[in-house]
Amino acid sequence: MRSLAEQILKQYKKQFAARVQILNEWAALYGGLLESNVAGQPYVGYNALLLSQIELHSITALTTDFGRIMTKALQAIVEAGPATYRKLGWPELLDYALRYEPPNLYLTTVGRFDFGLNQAGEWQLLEFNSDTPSGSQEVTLIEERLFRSLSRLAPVARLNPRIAQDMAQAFYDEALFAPMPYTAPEEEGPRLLPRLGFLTKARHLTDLAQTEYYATALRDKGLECIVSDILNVSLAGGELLLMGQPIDAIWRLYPIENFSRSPLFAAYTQANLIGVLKCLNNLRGFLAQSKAVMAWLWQERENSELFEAHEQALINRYLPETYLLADLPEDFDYRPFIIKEFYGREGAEVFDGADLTPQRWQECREWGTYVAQRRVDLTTVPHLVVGQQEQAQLVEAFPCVGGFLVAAKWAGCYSRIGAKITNSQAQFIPTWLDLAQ
Amino acid sequence: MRPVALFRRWKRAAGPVFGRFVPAAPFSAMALVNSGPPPLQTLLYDETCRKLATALLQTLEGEAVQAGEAALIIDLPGPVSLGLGFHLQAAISPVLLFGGLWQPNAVLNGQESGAALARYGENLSQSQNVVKPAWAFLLERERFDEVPPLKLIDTLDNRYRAGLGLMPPLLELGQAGLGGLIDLRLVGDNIPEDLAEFYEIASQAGLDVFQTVINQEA
Repeated sequence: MRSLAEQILKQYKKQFAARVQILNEWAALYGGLLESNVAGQPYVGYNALLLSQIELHSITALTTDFGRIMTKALQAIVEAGPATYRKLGWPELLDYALRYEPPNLYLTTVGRFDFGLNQAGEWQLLEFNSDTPSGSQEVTLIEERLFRSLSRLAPVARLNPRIAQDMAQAFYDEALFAPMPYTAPEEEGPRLLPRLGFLTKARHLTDLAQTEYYATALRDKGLECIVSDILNVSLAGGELLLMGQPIDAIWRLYPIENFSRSPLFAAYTQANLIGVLKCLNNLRGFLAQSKAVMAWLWQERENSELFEAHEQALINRYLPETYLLADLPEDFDYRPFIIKEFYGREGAEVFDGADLTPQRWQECREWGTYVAQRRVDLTTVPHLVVGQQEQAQLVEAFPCVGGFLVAAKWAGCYSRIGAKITNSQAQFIPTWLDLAQ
Repeated sequence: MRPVALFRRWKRAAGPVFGRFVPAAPFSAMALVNSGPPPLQTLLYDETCRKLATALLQTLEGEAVQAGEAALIIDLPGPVSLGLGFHLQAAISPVLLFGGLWQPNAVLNGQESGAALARYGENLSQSQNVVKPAWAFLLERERFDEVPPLKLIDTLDNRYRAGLGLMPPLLELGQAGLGGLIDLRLVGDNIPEDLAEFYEIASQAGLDVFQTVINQEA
């Protein structure tokens, strides 16, 4: 794995800051990355991550394989019942809904496994964004634009130029997969085209833009789509309305932990349970995002009734050892571990064990919703940022490479680069195949 | 003028310190949702804004801002906030902080504000000599207006909050030499919850927070 930083520095040293500015203006105005300015710093980096053929082959296979492993894991967890749910921090009130929601075609329509490359050159799975992954505009609109300007600097190829179509097709197929209530007989005949609602918090502009992006792609495929804020949801005769209109299917770009506090959540859940509302990202997919599931996976890695031998080998080799804090002794040596909240996002509520005080360790244990994952010694690559004097500054940075799982298959990569623990300050850069290696 | 050119004009007017905090959202709305800036219209409040700017610069608050000791936070209806910021430009740099993605059939549709943003943007002075180390942060009051619940049944709620996510970080305000913030709003308009929270945090960080009001009759 390498980056294009040195070639860019050689070619565009004097124009670097201007290029970053123009790129980010375009990304914000036309690419839907409206919050592309994080605390005054640009979100889109002017660089590209290059993978060797071996690295690409490996992340492609791992994404699809872990998609299958997680699908099996979630099936087993759901069947295991309340004792397992409690251990994984699942709220008791949603036990029934989790157990009996109609199955979807895919565990996640569009999900993303985030990997880091260790010093031995092996990918390590850090987390699974199965519920509401970001990155759709980045790997399509932004990547296309960057490819036009940077691909002349080195022999590179895009990983999947059809990722936009793949995502739209996955949404389309899942939306048409009827929500069959538990114990209901098989449906006969094709389903009519559903009206698909996208639910978000419109003041989160990038989320709003992402739902608009998907809605536009699906309208082009003939689906009627409605984009709605959470405050535009109403209830009439037990039916959920978005922007005053009934819907048949819904994709939620809004954290379920927040939505579940809304009085309308009960109607949403009930409508799904009885099969009148299709939830494209359902509760099972949401639970799959919990880092507690990674701890469960690690614990069950030798379970030969559940996982085939090669799947067990994959978990052992590519998932860093992960534990629920509740399963660890109080005097556990947490220094070689990263402590993560079950549903923490963008590096929030993540602590490096090396910097963790005993008091904070105790607090994390008491909160009961944290895992400890062995720290991965990540590989760095050169990266360029704009310095204080608007100059191009070469730094070493840590890439986190996301493998998109679309319709149960690898569909492309989305990378963030920045500090050792990826946080909201990390920049997006595209990921391409290095044809020179 | 293209949305990106307007965006750059407003960023340049805000100056090098705070220009990077100007949100892209209203310009993106012009580019994507409305296919370009709205047609230029007569600005209904322009003369009022001009007079108000002249009067404001002569007040104690205006002098404190011009001296770079405090920044104005102008929380008025969008077109008025823009007009006032524009007419203050000779003495105070306007920092546009409109953070909503205007859309048709939404609470914030940008009909009036969009026209004012385009019209004033085209006429902002582009000379770097005009940029003063004195700042007025421009907010659109509509972002946090009360809306009848029934209206939200079929009107997209794209209201938003002004606060730590929209305002420049407090550290940067301090580094710019600012010791205080002066809230400016219409008389009778209580400070909305989003700004009240921000002022509380700013106050805890050592910034003095003042309030001044505009009497509509005046």
